[in-house]
Order: sequence, then C-alpha cells, then structure tokens
Amino acid sequence: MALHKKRNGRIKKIETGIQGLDIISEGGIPEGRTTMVSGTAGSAKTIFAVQFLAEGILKNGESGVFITFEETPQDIRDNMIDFGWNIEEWEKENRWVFVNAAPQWKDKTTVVGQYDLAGLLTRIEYAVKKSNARRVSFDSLGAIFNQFSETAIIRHEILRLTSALKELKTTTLLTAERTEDFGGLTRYGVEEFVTDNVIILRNVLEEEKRRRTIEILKFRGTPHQKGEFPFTVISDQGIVVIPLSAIELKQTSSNIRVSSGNKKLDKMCGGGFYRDSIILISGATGCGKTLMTTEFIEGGVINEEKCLLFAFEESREQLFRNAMGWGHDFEKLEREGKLKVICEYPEVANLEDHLISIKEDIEEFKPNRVAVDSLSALERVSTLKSFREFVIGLTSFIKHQEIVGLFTATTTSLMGGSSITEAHISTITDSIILLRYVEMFGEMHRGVIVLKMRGSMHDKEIREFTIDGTGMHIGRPFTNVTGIVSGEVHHIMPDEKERMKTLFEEES
Amino acid sequence: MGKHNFTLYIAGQSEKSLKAVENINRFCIDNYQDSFNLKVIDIVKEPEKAETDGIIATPCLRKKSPPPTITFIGDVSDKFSLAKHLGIDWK
Repeated sequence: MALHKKRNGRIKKIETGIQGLDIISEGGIPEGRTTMVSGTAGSAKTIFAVQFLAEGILKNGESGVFITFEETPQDIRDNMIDFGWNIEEWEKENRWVFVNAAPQWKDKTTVVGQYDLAGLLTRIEYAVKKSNARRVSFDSLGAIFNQFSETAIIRHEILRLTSALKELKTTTLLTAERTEDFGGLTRYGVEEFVTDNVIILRNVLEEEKRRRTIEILKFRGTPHQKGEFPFTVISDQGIVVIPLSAIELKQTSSNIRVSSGNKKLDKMCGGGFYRDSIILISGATGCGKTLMTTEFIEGGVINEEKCLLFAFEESREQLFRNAMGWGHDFEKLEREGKLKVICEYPEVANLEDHLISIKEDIEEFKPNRVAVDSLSALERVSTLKSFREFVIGLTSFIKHQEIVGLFTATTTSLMGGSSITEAHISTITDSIILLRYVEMFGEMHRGVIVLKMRGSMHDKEIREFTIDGTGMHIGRPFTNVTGIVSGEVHHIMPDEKERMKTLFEEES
Repeated sequence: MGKHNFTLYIAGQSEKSLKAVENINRFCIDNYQDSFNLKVIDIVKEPEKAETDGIIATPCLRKKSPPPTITFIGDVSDKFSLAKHLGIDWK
C-alpha cells in the first residue's frame, strides 16, 4: 500500500481511499491541510465526510474524529451502517471519536458578553489527542451559524480552529452547504477563506434524471484532474467515483484472432475478431443482433473461453428459449461454468451503478468474452452525457482486461440510419458490423456489412444473410442494389426491365 | 425559594474566563446573597465534561435550578440582560 505518495512539490497527499477519487485527485487530498467539500442538500456531503474517516480506519489504520453540527452521532451511526461502516465498533476501539456540536439544549441561549468557540476547540483537540487521529471531518461547519448569530466572531473562530488543526497535523475535511449547484461556493461564504482546497459535489436534475458529479475545483500547489466526473453512492461501498478521462488507454492491441462464432463472418472480418477489441453490432429490431450475440458466445465456448452476457432487453427465459431454438443450450453452459448470463432491467439502477456492477461482474467471473445486448436499452435510463460517459467507461474497462467485447445497438428506424449508441461509440470500437433490412421486390431480405475493422483487411461487400433454426447463414453479396446502409435502396439491375415484365405477366 | 445553582464552563485561564468568573460571582452575591451555588468547570482540565454537556462556546453559564434551565454565553459583562432573563429587577 502506497499510503503517502510524494508528488511533485513539497505538498504530500493522503489517499482518501474513496474509489476513483484518488485517481482524479492524483494521489488523494493534501496531507495535513484542510479541504472543503461543498455541495447542495442531498449531494452526499455527509457520506463523503464519513467515508473519508472510514477508509482511513479500514485501509490505512488511521483513526479519525468526526465533528457533527447537524445530525446526532446516533443518526450518523444508524445511517452509515448500510455502507458497511460499523462506527459504534470503531468508537469502542477508540479509532473513531465523535464531537457532537449539534444543538443539544432545548432552551434558547442568550449572549451576555464576549465569547469564543474555545469550548469546541478544546473538545476537538482532546478527541484528536485521545484517539491519535490523523483525519478529521467537520459536517457541516456552516451549520454553526444557525447557533450563533455573531458572524464576525464565528469567522474568526473558524480560522483559529483550522490553524489549531494544522498544528495537530491532521488532514481535515470540511463540508459546506451551498444553495445552488452552480453558484456561490458556500451559503455563508466563510469556509472558502480557510482552505486552499475545494471539492464540489453536484446532484443535478437533467432530463428528469439525477446526475451526481464531483469536481476538484482547486488544490493549492499540487496537480489534479480538472472537470466534473460522475460518481454514485452504493450500499456496502459508499461513494464511488468514475474516473473517465483519467483512464489511460494503454492496452496493447494483440494480433491474436478469435472466432466470431460464425465462419462466414470470420472470413468477412479477415479471419475473426481481434482478441482485445470491441465490436459494435448495429441494426434494427429483429434483424439478428441477439442471434449474433448467441453465436459469439458459442464461438467462445467452443474455444474453451468463458463468456459473460449482459442482457438488458430480454428476460432470462426468453433468451434461453431463443438460444435453444438455434441449438445452443445456455442453461447447460451456465451449469458448466462456461457462461454467465446476467439479465437486468435497465431501469433498476442509474447508469453509474450499472457500470460499477458490470465491472464487478467482469472482475468476479473473469470472462474471455463479454457481450452486452443491448447498449441502446441503457440509453433509456440516462441522459446523453451520462450515456456517453458510460460507454467510454465500459469500453476502456473491457479493453484493459484484454478481453473481446461485443455490444449491440438498436437503430431507431427499420431500414437504416444510425443509433445514438453508434454515434457515441463508433470511434471507440474497433469494429462495426451493420445488420440491415433490404427491401427487394416486395420481400424483406437481410444484409450484413463489416463497416470498420481496425488494423485488418475486411470484406467490403454487403452480403445477404438468412436466419433459420440452425442460426445465421451469410450468403452472396447484394450486387444489384445501392443505398442499403442509408436505407434508401435503389435497384440497378441491368435486366430489371426484363424481370419486371415477367412479373407483370405472372399477374395477368 | 431554594438555592440558585449555576455552572460556569470556562476554557483555561484566559482573560474572558477570569472576567466571567468575577462577573458572575459579583452578580450572584449582589442578587442572591448567600443562597446560591456556583460551580466552575475548566474544560481544558476536564474535557470529558465539555463533551457530555455539549459545550461549544465559552464562557458558558447554565442556571440549573430553580427550573427552567437557562443557558448564557459570554463573559457576563452584560449584567442587564442576564438579570432580565433570570427574572430579577435590575436596580
């Protein structure tokens, strides 16, 4: 464990232990200093403040002092148990000490002369020394203005407090309430004067969906990633930050090919998919995407590879029945541990949570192949921005694992056009395969084309394919029509007239 | 009327602390003669008491009996306000 990484300059950082935060903060928050965490009501400030101490206890063996100004210690103990933080136990071991600065008296206090907050300061110093604390959280300091109306005194006292903590060499976190997600940093405009380090939590309502983000606004004298990063709050873990742009794309691209599960398709791709690549299959509903996914899995199983399938559109039963219809026994494969199928409604969680659970499933099952059917279903539950981040996060994660990933995307129109998924993912994926309906003389045909295949020669022709009880059969190219990809089919058959003539003759 | 019981919390022997002790002492003698108890707690010496009693601002004066409990903060230089809240006619 690298606990105290020394970074450029003299300012050391301390790893918070909050997943993802240490990546975007490039090593944690400045050690021995005060960092402010500002956010509106419901932006997860208290969880942040608690988690900062909890991770210190769990990961670094550092004890902490929690100063609460609004909630009672008992409320905090009760509310945090779901995250797996047993504060009461830590209190018994003297690794966690509460300083309860919430108003405890029912009676009103009257000011009768000069006062200061030496009482609070004394208690904090005592708690820090008693537990030998390295971390201190204030939640939320601004609430002290509800108790005392002499703002000038309080401002001065807050300054005294932070300098006292500096002397104690603790790393301090200060939560501060702000009234708007984009506006003044804090409600009272005081807290920002005592710290050079500011983190902002946002919980913005966008297209009727909540989107949580975290932004490191400033860290004096030490680098950090800029901009907003999505995060989520999940039970058993607390805050998990998704460090999108911070993910380095350093995966090695391999030259090893694996089968798509369909020999003809392999041939079209110039010998199969690359082992650590992402393939996007785009097409209208019912044109064979799920079948391709099924064959992709079968191709893996034949190759002694483990496959993981995330299905967001169909139920387990439906999926298994379909696979059985094409002669693939998914149930048996699951029993043998070769396959794991995870069916979920996209609506059960937000995208950030989906991303995290998908990652966990991949890490746990360690598959060689991952299929997601379909990505488009996940669009429904998110904003465009979140979806984009999700796709980037997922693809870079899969690439890091050096496994082959196959995503499907549903186009909105039957005949052609592109899906939103496609628009956001096409530059990230290594291969794009389009499935299209082709209308020819009153009949629907299906066409497949390998549109893009990074680093490889591939078939440029649009081939017709059929689906029957044994699967997908790719046949000859459409040589006499144009405009299949765009959905505007034109027939250019030279003997078209001849054929038309015979058609009319048949009719009469 | 029973005895008047006061607890004064101070943080160390600061100027404010000493002033508060002196002021409340004088106030009690002037108004209650000998029918009062004044307990002074220095929370620097007894920090646990500050924690259990929830002391934030100091000096802090609490009148515990006769009921109701009334809390004051400050060095008790504003005797007028103190007297008013304790229901004493300030002469």
